[in-house]
Amino acid sequence: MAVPDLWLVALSAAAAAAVAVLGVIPVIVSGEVSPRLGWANALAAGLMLGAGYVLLQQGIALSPVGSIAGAVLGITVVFAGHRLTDLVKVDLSHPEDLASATVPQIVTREVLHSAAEGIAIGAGFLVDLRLGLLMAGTLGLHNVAEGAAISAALIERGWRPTHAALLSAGTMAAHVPAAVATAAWIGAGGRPWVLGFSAGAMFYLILVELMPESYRQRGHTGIAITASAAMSVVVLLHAILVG
Amino acid sequence: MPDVAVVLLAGLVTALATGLGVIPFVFVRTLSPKVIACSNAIAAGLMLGASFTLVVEGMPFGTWQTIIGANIGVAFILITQFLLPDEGLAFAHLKGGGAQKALLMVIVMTAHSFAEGVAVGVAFGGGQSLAVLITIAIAIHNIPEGLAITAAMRPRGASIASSAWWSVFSSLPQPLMAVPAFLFVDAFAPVLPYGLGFAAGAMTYMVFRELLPDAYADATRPEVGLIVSLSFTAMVAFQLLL
Repeated sequence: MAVPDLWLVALSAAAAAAVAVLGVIPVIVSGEVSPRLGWANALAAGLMLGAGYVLLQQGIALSPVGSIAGAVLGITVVFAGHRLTDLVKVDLSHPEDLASATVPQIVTREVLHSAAEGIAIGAGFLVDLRLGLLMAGTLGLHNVAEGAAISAALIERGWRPTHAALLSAGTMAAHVPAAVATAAWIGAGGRPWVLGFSAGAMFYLILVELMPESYRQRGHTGIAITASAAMSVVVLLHAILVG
Repeated sequence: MPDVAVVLLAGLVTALATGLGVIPFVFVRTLSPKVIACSNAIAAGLMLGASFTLVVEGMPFGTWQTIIGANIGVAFILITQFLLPDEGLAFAHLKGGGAQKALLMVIVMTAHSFAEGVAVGVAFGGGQSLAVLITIAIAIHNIPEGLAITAAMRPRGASIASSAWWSVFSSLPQPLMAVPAFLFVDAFAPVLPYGLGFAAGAMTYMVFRELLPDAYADATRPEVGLIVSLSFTAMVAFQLLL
């Protein structure tokens, strides 16, 4: 297991968060959350599933019990968090949800979501530098679609596009402390747990947020092809980069 | 070195084990829309987990070949789906759209068993003790696959017996392919990554195109998320540990 460079972890997580500002562009151009973002969501879902699998596989190689227990814990924690805060009802691809959600609700949802993803970035760096960068890149791509959804919600409430874009990236900034804390504080004994935890949390988030939003935006067949292809890409990248 | 009869018998045992996947459904009496959605979610998680493991198995034989096989698998199901009629199709006492989905599921799982049969045959070249270990592993591994098939067929109206039969049927290519692959290891080994990739691609596409949308139709997003992610994790853990 690698000892990650914390500055590099922070920089990668910050870059993944910062690209969320790009999400405002399609909203300015089309005046709404473009249905084309369904492709980006499906692509991100496939990439994140592939990346999550790699994390789980690495964890099981270290300690099957720890990583599987970690995965179940990750799924349970995010599920319970959604239930307790009622945030799962906020579906950013759904016009009625967009209209009824308050700004604090949207921000809280995104901060929790980003923190879970930040743990996955940190966990990637715990395994290998290249896996960490792959995780950050994958989540960065996903953040563009996420940034578009948040920007659209804020612009509809009268926010200026620049402010909306900055708040989108701001909510994603939770990546940074979560990634750095994971990379810095998790010792050898905790690694299988955190690898499993981040994989489980990501699986759950993909299935609760990304996939339903993608289906609603672009239908079934195209999304199925995109997500399947994206999973192939991440497995291929992992095989080439990490071996 | 095991002989052909042992390989064939081992393959038959693994195929029959697939039928055990119906057992949980014997205890489910009513199939409400929610139960159907949850069954689809279970099948989706199990199949996603199995497809990842297939890719991992294929990679040592050839990374690019496995990925090419996966894309061919997606294309195969797309074409099959296009060719199968929505109306007028009957399968396992089902009709129309339900018959099409159930038939697709059986086609996908049967195609995946061809690849696994080759994998078994090639691996049997390693000797008697490895053969016994592989037989037990594949037989246990087939049970959740039978569960996945039943979870997809039963909600669409197929009976327990019919689901069990088609589960076993889907694994029959294992003994059929294991024997020639065992006899001609050198000829079959290069095909293996394509076959494993093909199976993984077909299963993944089936999950994203049919099972997940059907699950979201009658269960809430958190329910689907919880069931799919837990069954996915369970399948991955189960297969990696085996």
